[in-house]
Amino acid sequence: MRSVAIIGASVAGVAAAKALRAGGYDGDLHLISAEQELPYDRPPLSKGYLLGQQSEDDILLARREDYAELRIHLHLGAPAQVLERGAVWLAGGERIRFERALLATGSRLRRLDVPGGDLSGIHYLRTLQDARALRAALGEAERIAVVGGGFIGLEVAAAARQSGKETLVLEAMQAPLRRVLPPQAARAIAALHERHGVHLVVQAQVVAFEGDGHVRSVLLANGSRFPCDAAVIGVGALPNDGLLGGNGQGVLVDKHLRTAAEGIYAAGDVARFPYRGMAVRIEHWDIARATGEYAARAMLGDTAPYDASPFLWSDQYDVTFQYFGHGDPSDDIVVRGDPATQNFIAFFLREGAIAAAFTAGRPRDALPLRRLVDQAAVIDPRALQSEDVSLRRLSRGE
Amino acid sequence: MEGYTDVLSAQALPPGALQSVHAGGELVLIANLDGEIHAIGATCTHEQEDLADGEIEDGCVVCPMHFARFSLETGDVIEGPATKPEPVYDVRVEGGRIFVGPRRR
Repeated sequence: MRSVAIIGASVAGVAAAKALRAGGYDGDLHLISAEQELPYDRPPLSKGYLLGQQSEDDILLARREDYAELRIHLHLGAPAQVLERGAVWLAGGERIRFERALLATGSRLRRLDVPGGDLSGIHYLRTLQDARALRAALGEAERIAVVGGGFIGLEVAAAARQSGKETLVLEAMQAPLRRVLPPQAARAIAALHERHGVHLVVQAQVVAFEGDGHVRSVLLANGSRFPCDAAVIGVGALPNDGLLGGNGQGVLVDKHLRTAAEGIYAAGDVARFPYRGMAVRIEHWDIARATGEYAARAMLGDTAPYDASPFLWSDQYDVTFQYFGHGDPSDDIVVRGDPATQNFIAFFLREGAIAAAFTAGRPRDALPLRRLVDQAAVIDPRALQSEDVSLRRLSRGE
Repeated sequence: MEGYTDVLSAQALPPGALQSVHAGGELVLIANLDGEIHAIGATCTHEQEDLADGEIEDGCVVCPMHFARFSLETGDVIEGPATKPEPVYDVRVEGGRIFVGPRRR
């Protein structure tokens, strides 16, 4: 293998590039980014960076000199436009030939297409450029409306409250995160935000933004109107799968992360990969990192199948939530601890086996939980509930 | 032993156990790796999690938050997301007590 092109330079792409060099790959290595900035890490954009605790330098995935040292040809501000057998065309007309390519193009945010949706003061949060604008807006605005109570929206709401802003969260379902979490856990998160002074409105359908060039209020389908001088929209993402003719469902890969196109692998948000009999596309940072590294090893001849368990974390106020596995809120839910205290675990059981776990305030249980999910362990729900039973011991089969 | 801080009874740290302690103004992780005592920085260089809440695996401590791995011997990052190594401290066991000394690297 003498030439590799990595299309997309977020965590999956950069992890892949580093792993190729770490694995002894010595040929040409191109890392292609649609964005102008040196590749950076996205999780801090809704956390430490937004709060001003981290600088742009702090969140780089690698320093400029690291790319030179690793002989990675960085193509910044050069979105890939056409992918053909053995070559990719960049905006600007450059054509890069490759023997193997990794599609790590990530996802883009779903836009809220309502009247007034293009007023100034309305923000999305995906890129560093978005985060710069939002960080500046958080400085000036007094009343922030967050549309969408997903993880990103809730992190932004927490950051806004911690900056002393009047904060409104508008969630379409009965509770934030209700699509992914069981009611007990979703309620606990709602309560956490309300305790910190967030005004949470559920079953809220936004139909318009109003203003005089700048947003001044948000209007719901039921006629209620809330004043705001900045709005942040977080209503989900769509995979950037157009290069391989995708239809918005992501790019299907096999257990070695190979797409149907010869020599082309996919990793990160754009990849739909096999997991316990399903084909899943999961927009987690850790999956992006792990699949990027894995794809690099697969290109270098590693034949072990990709089988890591999904994992995510979310920091809101002083609470860190962790989520292991891939559950469904309709699974059987068993709770240890008291969700109202932000110190609890919700186990998702499917046919008796642990499919996933969502937890807060229990760092010591994290590694045992990850093992139990990896094992799809079958354990008496009473033992899962009881604080007297050590998860560490259960996870080691003791 | 000048420059060494008495931090812990050796009995309080069975094989496989981790404990974070204060020594010389730093938070230090004391680890019992199969009977051998090691001391490295206790705060994950990625997002400041207490590594004592993690576990020992294959000669490394695994962070409970994002699962970075640091070598207990050298402090090096064996697996990300962390990128900066942990400091390593001299450690001695005498008279059933564990003493943390100066930073070695």
